[in-house]
Formats: sequence, C-alpha cells, structure tokens
Amino acid sequence: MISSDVIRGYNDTMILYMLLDGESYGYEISKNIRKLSEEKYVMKETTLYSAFTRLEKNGYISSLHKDGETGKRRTYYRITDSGRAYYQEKCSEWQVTQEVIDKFVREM
Amino acid sequence: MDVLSAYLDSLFAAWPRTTQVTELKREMLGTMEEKYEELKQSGRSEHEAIGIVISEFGSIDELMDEMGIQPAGEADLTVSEETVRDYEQAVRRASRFQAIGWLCILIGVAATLFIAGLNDDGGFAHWSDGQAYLFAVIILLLFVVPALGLFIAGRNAKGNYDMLNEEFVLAPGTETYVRRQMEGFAPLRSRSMVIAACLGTLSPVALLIAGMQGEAKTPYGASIMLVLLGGAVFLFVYSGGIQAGYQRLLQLGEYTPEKKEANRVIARIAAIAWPLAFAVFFISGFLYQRWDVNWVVFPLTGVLFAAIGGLYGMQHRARRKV
Repeated sequence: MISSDVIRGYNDTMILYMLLDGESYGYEISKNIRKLSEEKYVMKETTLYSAFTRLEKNGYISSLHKDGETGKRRTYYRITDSGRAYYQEKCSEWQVTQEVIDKFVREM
Repeated sequence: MDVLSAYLDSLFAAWPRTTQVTELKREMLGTMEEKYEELKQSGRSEHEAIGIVISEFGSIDELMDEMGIQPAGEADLTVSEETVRDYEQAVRRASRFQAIGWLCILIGVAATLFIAGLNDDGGFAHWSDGQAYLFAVIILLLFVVPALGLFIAGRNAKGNYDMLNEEFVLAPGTETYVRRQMEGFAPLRSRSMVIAACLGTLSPVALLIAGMQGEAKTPYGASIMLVLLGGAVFLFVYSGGIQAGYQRLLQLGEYTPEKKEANRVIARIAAIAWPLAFAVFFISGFLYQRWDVNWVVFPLTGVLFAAIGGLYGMQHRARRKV
C-alpha cells in the first residue's frame, strides 16, 4: 500500500480522471480508484470528501443530488470544462515530475 | 448501521450544525454503509467489516481544514486562570456592594416610616409637621444616596469583564477549579436561601402584630417588616450574585452561548423600552394625573420582555435544528 504523503498532490487528479467519462458518486469513485490501483491505493474517506469540497470550490466539478437505485439520496459529481483543463495541467506536471525523479532513481 | 452512525456522530460532535455539515455527514455515512455492505457480501464478518470501514475513514482534521471549519470547542477567546480568580474576587465584591445597597434602601424606607409613626404618636411635639417631614426625607436620603453609590461601585467592579459576554473557553484545568469553588459555595448558598426565605415569610408577621396593637402602631410594624425584608434581600442578592458569577464562568443556566446571544438582543431592546416606559409613566402622571392606572406600563413592559425572550428562544432553536 502506498503512503498517502507521496500521493497527496495527485488525489484531485485521480478523482478528475474518474469523472472524465461521466458523472459518479463518492463510493463508486473510491471503489474504482482502489480497483484501478490494483488495491495498492485506498483513498481515505476524509481525503475523498476534502477533495470534493476543494474541487467544487475551485469550479472543477459540479454536484447534483439524485435518488440512487436503492432510493437513497446521493450526491453525484460531474467534471466541468475548467476541471478538464486543470486535469490536463496536472498530467503534464506529472510528466515533468516523473522525468525529474527518474533521474535520481537507479538500481542498487 | 448504528455503529457507523454513532462513530460519525462522535467525530462531528464539535462541528457546527450547518446545512453543509449535515449534508456532508449524511453523504459520508452513505458511503461508509455501502462499503460495509459490500465487505459483508464478500464474506467478511460484521466486526471485520466495521473495522475496515473505520480504518479507511481517515482524519477528521483534514476535512475540517478543507472546509474552513473551526471546532466549536476552540472559541477565539481563552480566559486564563488568573482572570478567573480576579473575576471571582470582583464578583464577591460587587455582590457585597449590591446587597448592602439594597439593605440600605430598605432600612432607609423603614426609618422614614418609623419617623412618620413617631410623629403621629407625638414624638416630635416641639416640631412642626413640615420639620418632621424634612427630617424624614433627610434620613431617607442619608440611606439612599450611599446605596446608589454602592450600586455604581458594584457595577464598576464587574465592568472589566465584558469578554465573558462573548464566546470563550476557560484555560485548561480552570473549569475544574471553578466547579470546585462553586461546590464549596453551595452549602453557604443554600443556608442563605433558607434564612432569606424564612425572613421573607416571617416579615408580614411584624406588621400583623403591630396592627393588632392598634392602628397607630402599624408604621412601626411596617418598618420592622421592611428591615426583615432587607435582610432577606441582602442574602438573596449576595449569594445569588456569587452563584451567577460561577454560572457565567461555566456558561450554565442564563449564560449558555444561546442564552447569551438572546440576552444581548434583549439588552439592546431594553435600552430603549425601559426609558420609554418611564417616560410614559411620568408624562401620564404629571401631565394627565393618571397615577391610578399608569403604573400598568411596568408590568406590561415586563410581560412584553418575557414574550420577546420566549419568541427569540423558539426561533433560535428552530434555526439550529435545520
């Protein structure tokens, strides 16, 4: 399991990625992140909801309330245009980060 | 799931109950329950499932920081132990001043009545009625003027502690000190209350006995009754004032944060309403000679205040529930 310190700056990116192909809600997003990371990363509940609050405040996602299949009220999130732009930005930032860090990585 | 809901409740206990927070809590509970159900369906026991959900919950501080929320316990103002001790002394002094002030006023009125009685009995045979009247007024003033001074001194003694009207927390450990002091004061307080109640109930007896001795003796009875009442008021004001001081420090009774808010609002209205009531009283009295009915403005204003206080409290509670 990855320490959350390392990944902190990219939680928002992961959530935005999950919303690229359509709206989703809290648990589904968290489950898909776990699945996609092959169980190597589990996003904590509070990290997830902090990110929602932050992303919505910055206008990168929008939320709407819907009644789910079980009849429970749920909040669905949808990525906005500026959210997509931000996602792009973070992706190229990661490219550079990766290139830099790679230079300091070698087999021992 | 009661366990998960109780867990969230305990974590959110210090949060303000705004719509945003309630919504967030509901949403998080939904997520946790869904996770729990899936874990159980994948063959985990109830205990295991709850353990996993809680271990994956994270840190509530992270969420608070992000939402810009300060826990309700961390009010902006901390009152130090030194301030608390100073305040305790100030309250005792102020309560003593006020209690003696009331005693003076009642003794003053009693003395005036006593002089009036003596005068009727022919005690001032070589004085004219006018002279006796003047003497009575001078005696009354001799008591009332120092009493007013004591009231002002009492107010000033407590005047430097306006911050206790705002939201505050006591410095660590200080609350225990205040509680201990309040408990230590309790026996004295209950004794004072019992004695005061006895004096208050017994006081009319003096009037009754004097009345039976003949109508001329009634003023003496009345003045004894007033002195006894003075003793009762002294004990009530003194011990009540100290008790109120402790309650104010612990933010109990009349001094809970909600009550304080309500009291602030009511104090603002009072600053206008009571002078207005007095104006109505004097104008209708002096200009229209309606002294017979105009006193009604005082109980009326009082009732109006009770109504405003009640309405405000109801509205406030309703708002907090949303």
